Amino acid sequence: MNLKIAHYILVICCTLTLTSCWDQELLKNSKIVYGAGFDYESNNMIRTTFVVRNLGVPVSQGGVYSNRVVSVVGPSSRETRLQMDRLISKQLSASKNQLLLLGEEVAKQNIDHMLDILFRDPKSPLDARIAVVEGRALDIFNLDHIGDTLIVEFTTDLIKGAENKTEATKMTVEKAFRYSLDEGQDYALPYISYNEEASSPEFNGLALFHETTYTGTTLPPSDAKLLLLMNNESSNKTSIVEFLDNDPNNEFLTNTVTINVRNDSVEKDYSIKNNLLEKVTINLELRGNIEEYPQNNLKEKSQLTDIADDLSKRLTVRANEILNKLQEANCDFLGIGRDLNAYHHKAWNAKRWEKEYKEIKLEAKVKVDIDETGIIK
Amino acid sequence: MRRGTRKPYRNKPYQIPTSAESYQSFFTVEENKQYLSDAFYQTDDLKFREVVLKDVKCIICYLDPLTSEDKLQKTIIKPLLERNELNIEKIVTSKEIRISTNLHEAVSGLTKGFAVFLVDGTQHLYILEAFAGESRAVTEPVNEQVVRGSHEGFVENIMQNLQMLRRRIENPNLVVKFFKAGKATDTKIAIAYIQNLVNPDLVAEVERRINAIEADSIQTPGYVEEFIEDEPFSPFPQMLSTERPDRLTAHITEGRIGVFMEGSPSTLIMPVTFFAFYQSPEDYNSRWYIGTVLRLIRITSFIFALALPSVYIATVSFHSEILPAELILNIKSSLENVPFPPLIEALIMQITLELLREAAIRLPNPIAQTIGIVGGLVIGTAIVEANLVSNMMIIIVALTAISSFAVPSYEMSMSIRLLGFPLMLLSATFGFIGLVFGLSMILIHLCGLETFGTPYFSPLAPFRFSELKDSIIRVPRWLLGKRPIDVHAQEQRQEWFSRRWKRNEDE
Repeated sequence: MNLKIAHYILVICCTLTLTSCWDQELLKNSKIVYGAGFDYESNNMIRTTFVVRNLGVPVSQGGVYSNRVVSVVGPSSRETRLQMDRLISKQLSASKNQLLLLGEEVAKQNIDHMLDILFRDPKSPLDARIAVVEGRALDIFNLDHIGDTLIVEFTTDLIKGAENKTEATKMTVEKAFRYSLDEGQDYALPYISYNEEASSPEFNGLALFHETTYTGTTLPPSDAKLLLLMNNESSNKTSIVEFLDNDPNNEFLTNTVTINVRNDSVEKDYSIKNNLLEKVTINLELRGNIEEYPQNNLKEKSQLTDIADDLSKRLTVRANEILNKLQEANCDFLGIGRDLNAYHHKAWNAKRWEKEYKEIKLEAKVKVDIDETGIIK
Repeated sequence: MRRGTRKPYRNKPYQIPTSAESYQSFFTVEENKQYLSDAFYQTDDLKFREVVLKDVKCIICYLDPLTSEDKLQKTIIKPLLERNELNIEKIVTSKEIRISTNLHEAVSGLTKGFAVFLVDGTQHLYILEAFAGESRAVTEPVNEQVVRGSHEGFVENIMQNLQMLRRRIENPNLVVKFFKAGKATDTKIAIAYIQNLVNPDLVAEVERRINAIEADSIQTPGYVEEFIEDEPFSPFPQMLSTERPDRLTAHITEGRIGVFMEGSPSTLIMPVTFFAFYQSPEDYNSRWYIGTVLRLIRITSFIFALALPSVYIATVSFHSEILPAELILNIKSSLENVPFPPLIEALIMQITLELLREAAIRLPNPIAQTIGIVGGLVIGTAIVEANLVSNMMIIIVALTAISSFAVPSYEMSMSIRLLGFPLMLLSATFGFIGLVFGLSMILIHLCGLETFGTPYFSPLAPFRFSELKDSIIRVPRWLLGKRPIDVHAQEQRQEWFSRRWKRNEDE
């Protein structure tokens, strides 16, 4: 009887301890990759750059964090990853990657070539920010730090700051994957360039993508803002600065007005004839407060309406220019194709849309309302 | 063969003789005295005092340490000598007088603090109460202190404890039943319940289990608990042990049974659910939402004490990707120079902590404080500086210990902390999967556990939404119209619209 129980215990212990592989990955024994970059090298090779966080002395004992930038060249990102393992001590863990930078040249290729490795691994960071760099990603990472801030944190915060001001969409690795497979919706990644004057990276608008490739067209931050407003993506802090006609009578250097958008609503009107999309009108209504207007007192209601009307006209012109740019780049950022698929399905043809998008008529109408003028009139 | 059908064991010589067969007393005092003296094997504290009443030789016999000198003098010797009559029953003013011709009864009476009055020429033995009932003063129980509320605590004297209970429930329905257990000690055990409220099956079951106890001695209520509990191998305590009269009263008026024991200030309450261990009388003394918050904090403390070290171990050894990027650097930098895997680290800290607790608990207060400082501060700082344990682990273990001490019941706090160890092993070998399996096993066990026919994990399993309001949170008393169902009390309602004055006011 006792022997039988002893047997059972032995079997249970063996099955518990001996079966399956022990896939322990001690945090202590891993090297954390904090940023990654891809660049195009000649002969269809890519250059992968990893920023690895060094932690020599614990911070509690007066140590500081520092970066180690490692860069290798290879035919695919998995291959470069393997090379990287030979260069870096301990086990490489990319699960906490914060930032993925794509060089301009490499982004013009199919970006799935680089990102496939991320999508297959369940441990890869889906919320890492992804951005396109003017020039090479390696050059940005080689800056190492800006002031006291390490480069990866600096650039990530740069992008997050732009997201807060409605200048960039929140593009993570996961979203890039989703949009790049979507036929009726394109996307744009934040565009980072190096500012010589400030000797630091700079957020410089949006890089427009079509499916999986960079179209080569970028929008400056002010246009990006208007585009995002047309896409109903305003965050709580959106300010629009616009030049008004220069009044020769006032002694100010320029004649500008800044409004802070409180509320915006977008309506898209589709006019369809014979199951063919002819024209899309985008009606954007902005309600805002005046944030800056040094030129005049705004005592009269009519003055406000004048400014609002003037702004409406100018913004309409700008919005139409932006739409033209989008069409030229064949970037369906506003997701018109997807709307068509959903609401006007008869007019939708996935194969035709590739060419059709460039030819439809896109028109924007912006209407500005001004609610408040701040605490002074 | 089932245990219940066995014949009772024959008493061993050292055990208390069963008084089944009687032993007729003698006609002369000398013979009786000789018998009693032999029955106690000439023990030195058995005293005999000769009195001559109306020329008849009488002997008062008593066990010196058990009898009160005061009572002996005032209620027995003084009236007898003053009246000088043999009409003992009318003269002696003891509160209990038994007349017997059975010497066995006299012997067992002597062991309980009675004095035996022997009169020459008659077989009658007068067994007179002269019990010394001193006990220590009533103080607040150290391990169940409250800020607001009663500061009374049970003492070692069972009669005084019952008095505290009777004072709180002045109801003829409050029934106390005595049992004797322990063949060598004959310890008094009492159960108390409210007749016509308590489930009669429950009383019968408790009586049956207590009567089944056949042991040489019952030292503490812990013995009783282990003899009568349903699942002796479960890690969870299945009876609530308390030294607070108010806590016991509250449970008895909900239809539960309290068990008292001579010589111990702890009483046992049955049947209880898991959540009873997380309730404190204080919850009802403060405003109801404060009580609610306190209960929620205690439930959080349960989760922390059980699983926090295991979650941490699983995270840093298997799933570091779930940590936010800012946090991972802090944790990693503190781990960097520690030579041990997280499990060993946690074991070092946990064992150090248990050692400190065990060392400090039995020491006098000033030394215990020194141990606390040496252990907590000195070891804590030095062990991190020596890179034996990481800062994070210290935080985790300290938080776990604090959480486990937040449980109002000491036994529950210990069992939860001990359950943490197998969970730590599981999460160190299988990560979150192991942890989830371990927690599931605990949950399954909790759901399956029954004490005295009551589901232990009620009201979560079986789920009763309306009873959550007095287990996980505490709603105002006037909303608790019904008693908990799982006790199976004979009457469900316990409150009848006490706030109806409000309605009248509006009219």
